[in-house]
Amino acid sequence: MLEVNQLTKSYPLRGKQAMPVVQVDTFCIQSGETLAMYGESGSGKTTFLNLLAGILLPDEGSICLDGTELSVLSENQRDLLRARSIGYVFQSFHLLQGCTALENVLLAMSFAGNVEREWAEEMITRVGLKERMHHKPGELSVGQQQRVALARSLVNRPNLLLADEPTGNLDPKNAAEVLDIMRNLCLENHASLLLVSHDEKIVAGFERQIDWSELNGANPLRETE
Amino acid sequence: MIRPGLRTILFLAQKGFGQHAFSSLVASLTIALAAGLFLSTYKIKEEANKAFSNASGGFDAVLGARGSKLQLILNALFHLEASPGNLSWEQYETILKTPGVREAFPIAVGDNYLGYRLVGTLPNLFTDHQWRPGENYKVQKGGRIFTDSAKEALVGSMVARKLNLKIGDRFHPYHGLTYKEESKHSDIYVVVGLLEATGTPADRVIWIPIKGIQLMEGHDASMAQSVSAVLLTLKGAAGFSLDLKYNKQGDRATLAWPVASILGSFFNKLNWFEDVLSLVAYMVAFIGSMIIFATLRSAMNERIREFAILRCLGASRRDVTFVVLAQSLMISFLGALGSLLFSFVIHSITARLIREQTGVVMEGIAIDQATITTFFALLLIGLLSGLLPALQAYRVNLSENLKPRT
Repeated sequence: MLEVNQLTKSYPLRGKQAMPVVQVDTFCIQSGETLAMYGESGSGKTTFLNLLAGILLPDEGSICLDGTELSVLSENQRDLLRARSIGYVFQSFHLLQGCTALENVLLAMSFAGNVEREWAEEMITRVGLKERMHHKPGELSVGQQQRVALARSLVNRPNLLLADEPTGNLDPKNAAEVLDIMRNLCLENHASLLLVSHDEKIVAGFERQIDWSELNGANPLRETE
Repeated sequence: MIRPGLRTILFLAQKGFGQHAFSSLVASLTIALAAGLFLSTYKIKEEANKAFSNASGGFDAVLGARGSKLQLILNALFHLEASPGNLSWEQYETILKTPGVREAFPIAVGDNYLGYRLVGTLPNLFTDHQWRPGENYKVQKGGRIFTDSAKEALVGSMVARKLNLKIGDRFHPYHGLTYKEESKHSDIYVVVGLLEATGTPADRVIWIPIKGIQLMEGHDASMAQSVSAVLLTLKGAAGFSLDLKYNKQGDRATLAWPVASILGSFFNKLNWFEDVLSLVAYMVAFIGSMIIFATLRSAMNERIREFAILRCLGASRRDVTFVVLAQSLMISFLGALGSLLFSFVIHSITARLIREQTGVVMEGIAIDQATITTFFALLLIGLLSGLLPALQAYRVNLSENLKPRT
């Protein structure tokens, strides 16, 4: 479903050579597979996820999602692919503060070109926020905000869900709940899940676990020291 | 399928407007005031010019004492300003018999009633003369025109309304063109008729027989054989020969002809005022556009992260650019609508003041080419003001702006 080969990404440093951040020989995720990746903060995990989401372009190598090579797509095509096939959940939720929970979810649908209000409401109901769908993020708890973000990321029935420290801002109870919902929804939608965390307890719950420091040939933390 | 659709763009623009409602509304208001000032100044001048040209009461020329043609017209036709002097009754009779003169009506001024002018003239002005092609003066039901030798008054419609004068009412005239309580004449006049409204200065005077002014108690004896001016309608090209006779060869009287041209030159003299107001309006419009720019720019600092989120959700660069431009257009659209409202209010107030002061009725405000041009110019200003912030949105760096904030 997702195949990565010979992927490299560097960031230019002022007055110095470019610093390699990601260097992955091979990596793949099967359809419907859920896996967790762990590693230290600042070691390039988010950059890797951004590459997979088509937000960043690699210096070299290929990322193939369901047979589509991301690097040959135009920016608009990558935007559309991201809207339709990739869900992304962030540690700090990234909800639009001026919009209600429902509007946040509907907006994600509009960018994919397929607005179904009933389905958006259904997704919010599934994350347990039926009564709060017309509330703005500022009126929701952090746990509820992450659930809205989750509903938004899965509303377009993506093939791949990327979650970057999704429980980083949540207390253990909320973290466990959000994680459960996320895994169940991915299972229902046959979506693959790649979760990134530095919390070993979170990672321990996944069948497949990947140590980012082993997968990544580059080590930006060592470079900056 | 078009993605994400105009509706989504407008929705996000409206959200942005709402999140910065105060500064957005201030920007709209500034534009509305600037453009409203500009539009109303332009339109009032145009409309006033047209209205005054049409309000000459159907006269082609005015003959009066030697002096300013404009003052003569303002005094004799618009009942403003003081009379530049008098003509003798013989001069009136001479012009009346001059070939090429179709009608000649003498008028005499110098008295008022509670601030409204008394104008003495001949009764046939109201029976023979057409104040507009095909339109004679009409007396309201139950009234009649004064008789030449009686102390009777025919009251203009606005005066009747303002002073609540009715047929049968009696009044003492006051000396002079402005009301002074101590200058009351002993003569008593009786209202015998009320004129129907004409939308001309005739509505705001009280008409009496010319002998009434000439022979009013307390007036100088010399006034008995003089008139303030003679209102003329002319045949064919008689104006040219009369202009030559009175203005170029003569030195005893002035012929104000053609009326429309003299009034037009008067309005042209007001161009400097229009220029100053236009300059002020341009400056305020510039400030308005700067406020739009500043509003969007400061909002961008907060919204840049929002745009990064939208991009991450699949919005294209074009989408987020259009959101900023749409928000900018919303501000200027509101400003443009406000400017129409503002100019309508100014126009209405000015039209009422002009009517009160001169009796001239201006037409209602209309959507013309200038209005449409100003409206679209404002939208363009809004669009241009939003270009830089839109470019900022276009160039938003996703990965940088999606990092968690500490």
